[in-house]
Amino acid sequence: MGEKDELKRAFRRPISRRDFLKAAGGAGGVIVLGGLASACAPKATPTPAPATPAALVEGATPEERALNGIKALKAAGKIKDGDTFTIMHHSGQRNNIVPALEEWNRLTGLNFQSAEVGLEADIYTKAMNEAVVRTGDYDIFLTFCNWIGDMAEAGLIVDQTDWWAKYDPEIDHGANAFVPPLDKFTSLYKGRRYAVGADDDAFSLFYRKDIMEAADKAAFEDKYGRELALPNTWEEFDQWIEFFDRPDEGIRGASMYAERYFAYTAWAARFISKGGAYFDDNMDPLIVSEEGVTALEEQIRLTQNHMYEDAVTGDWSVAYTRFPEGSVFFAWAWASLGKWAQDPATSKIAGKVGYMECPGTMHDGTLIRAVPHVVGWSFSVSRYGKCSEAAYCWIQWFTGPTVGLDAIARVGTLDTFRRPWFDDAKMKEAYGAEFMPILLKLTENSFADLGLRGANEYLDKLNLNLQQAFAGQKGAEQALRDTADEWQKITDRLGRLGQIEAWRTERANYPQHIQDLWKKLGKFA
Amino acid sequence: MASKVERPLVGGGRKPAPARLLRVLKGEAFFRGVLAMPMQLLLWFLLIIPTLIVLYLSLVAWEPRMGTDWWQAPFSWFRNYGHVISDVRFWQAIVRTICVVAVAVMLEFTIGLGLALFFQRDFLGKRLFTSVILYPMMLPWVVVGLAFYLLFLEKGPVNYILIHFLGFKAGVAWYHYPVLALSTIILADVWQWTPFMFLILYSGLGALPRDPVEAAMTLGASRWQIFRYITMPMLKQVVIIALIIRSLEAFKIFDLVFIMTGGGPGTATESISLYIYRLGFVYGQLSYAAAMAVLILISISIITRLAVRPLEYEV
Repeated sequence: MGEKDELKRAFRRPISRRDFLKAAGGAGGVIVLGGLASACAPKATPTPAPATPAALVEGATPEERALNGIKALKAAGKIKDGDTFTIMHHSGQRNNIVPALEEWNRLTGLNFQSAEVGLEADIYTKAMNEAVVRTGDYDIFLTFCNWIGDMAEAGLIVDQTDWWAKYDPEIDHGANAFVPPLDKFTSLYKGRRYAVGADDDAFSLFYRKDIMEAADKAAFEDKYGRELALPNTWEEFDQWIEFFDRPDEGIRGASMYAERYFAYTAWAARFISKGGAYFDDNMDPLIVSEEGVTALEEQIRLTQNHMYEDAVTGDWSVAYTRFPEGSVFFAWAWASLGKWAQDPATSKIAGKVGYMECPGTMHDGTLIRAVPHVVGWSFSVSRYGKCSEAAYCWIQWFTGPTVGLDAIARVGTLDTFRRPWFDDAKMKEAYGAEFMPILLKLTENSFADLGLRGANEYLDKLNLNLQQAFAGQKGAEQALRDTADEWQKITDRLGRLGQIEAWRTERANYPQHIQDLWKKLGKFA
Repeated sequence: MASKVERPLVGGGRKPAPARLLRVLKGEAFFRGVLAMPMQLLLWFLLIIPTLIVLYLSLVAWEPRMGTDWWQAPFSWFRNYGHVISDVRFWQAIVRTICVVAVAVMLEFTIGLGLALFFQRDFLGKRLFTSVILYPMMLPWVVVGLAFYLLFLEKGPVNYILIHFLGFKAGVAWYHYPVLALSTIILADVWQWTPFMFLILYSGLGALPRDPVEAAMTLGASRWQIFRYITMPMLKQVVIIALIIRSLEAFKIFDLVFIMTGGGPGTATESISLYIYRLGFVYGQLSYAAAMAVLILISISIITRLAVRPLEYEV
């Protein structure tokens, strides 16, 4: 008799009571084991949210107050020498952070160490993973500031508002304050401080000043009816790019992102400057509007007529290749592109780079500029770490006016954010003296990425549809309509009331001139 | 002679419990169970429990950013599955993935079979070339993806050859157009996995009996007739196994797509694995991703079962 037949017989024989009890007992045992396992799952004891502080900690500077805070925590027995704290950050910040850790450990006797992550997206994954498993492996996260909403809602990070009051990091006031509105959108979520900003990612604009200086000014004036000059409005900008687009000479007009992850940047800059807003106060999208459609149509024309196709199909590094190699007249990206383009070791156009403010839109004689602040890094404190307050003290120390200046001036992906640093010799040497005042203005006009819960998802849907529009797969209005439909689904799924609360506080983080424009246009009460 | 005193048996004729337990512990079945226990535990913790968790997640509405524990998530039962079935992007990703699998696996099979037939004869350097052919298969997917991504860049080597040697006026925007972008992914997959097909088919051909072939040659059959009526039928089982294994692997394609196109332009090259990854790790919709993964698992299991059936009938 074959094996198959034997097996069939075995399965067909009647089950005895003993067999049944054995099987049920086994299954029950598994279920009990599973339940026990989940109950015994490692749960790092969460550090309670800070209570209202009694008084400001002593110290003349934010760094000093942070160090005094550590002393007090040691005296209270909450931490001791040799305690290990772990900071999760991107590998691009290694040079900013690691030298500072050595100094901090020497001053405090603690053992702060860094845990590098190679890909930015992995930081989000690991952080949200920690929100689920709560191992306590990380004490501090350095993440994009628009992830704060997700991390706060997941219960991963601690509300720092009371610590700001206790230790005064001098972020939103005083001579050493952050450039507004950086102090707001790098730290606030639903009106509470959940992070400390450590970066300035206001997009910066670079062009070939040698090509502009050598241009046929008369021809420009004949064609466009105005003198050749740096553009102030988006209409002037489009004409300017058109004029300097020379495919026969191997130089295209511009490199502006139209790809999968940053396609929204150029559209958003136009859209917001035209008076657009992502949502109304009921979280209904406002992007399928004249401002939104016009902004996208303009940018589509620019992308399809005056850029290389890798603007659509490449990644963020395209601008860092195209501009320094001299194959585009204009590029915009993070401030680091300026450093890259001015360094003879990495650029063929060193010494030929010009800087400019972001174009805007005229509203009754007033020029409104809106600069996208794209991603941007912020420090937040894990709820499940060893001692959240000690972790916060390190953050305040590292981003302080003196320590932070040295840290940010080192080559890395963190950029300058405190107002006095823009006049500092170290920063001028790092970025170029000519660039600093421009960067300051760009920052003052900047607005943040969407920072609601689900921000990644909202932005991804927007980027997906915009990229399809730039690639010619759908029209401008259809792309925005599809995005709006997806956004509604996301909002309903995540809970409209909570999203409304988050959006209403988030729009208060926009630069004042944009908020004033919205009021003037009747967008918000 | 004293007779043996028969003691009354306890328990209505059954042996005492400790003796029974001792017999079980000393028994062969228990010994076999103990030996199998490590693998059983491994299977439970690496396969069965995670699968049960995925099944559970697919039946609830949970995302990490909800701020609740996953075991406290409210049940939504089959709502996630309903959403999956009505998700246009899901079906587009499925169809796209099937197309990639079909084209890539067929090309790999055709080229692999051709190489395997060619390598049946002896020639100078055969061993060396056999090793060289297998190298692509040993490379990590990330390396292959990056290499091919660079090859097809606007200023990459492929466009350089097209412009400078083949007379093209301008380079081709490989990643700009969906069909071209998919073609680059298929090409990368074919380059990397044709050696796998070659290896299996080469081994299969080498194991075939020579007698039917020699008999056919003696009877005057042409090489094509021998190949079609003798070699291929004998090779059928090996071919089915090779196609099933390769198709299952190809269906999971992720690395090449992620690195070369990111699923773009738009979602034009997004495979089902990449979409599930996006749902789970970018959008945080773990329950929805779990439901999608379960549906894929069930579908693949059914298809594989049907594909393996011809092998069972042959046994």
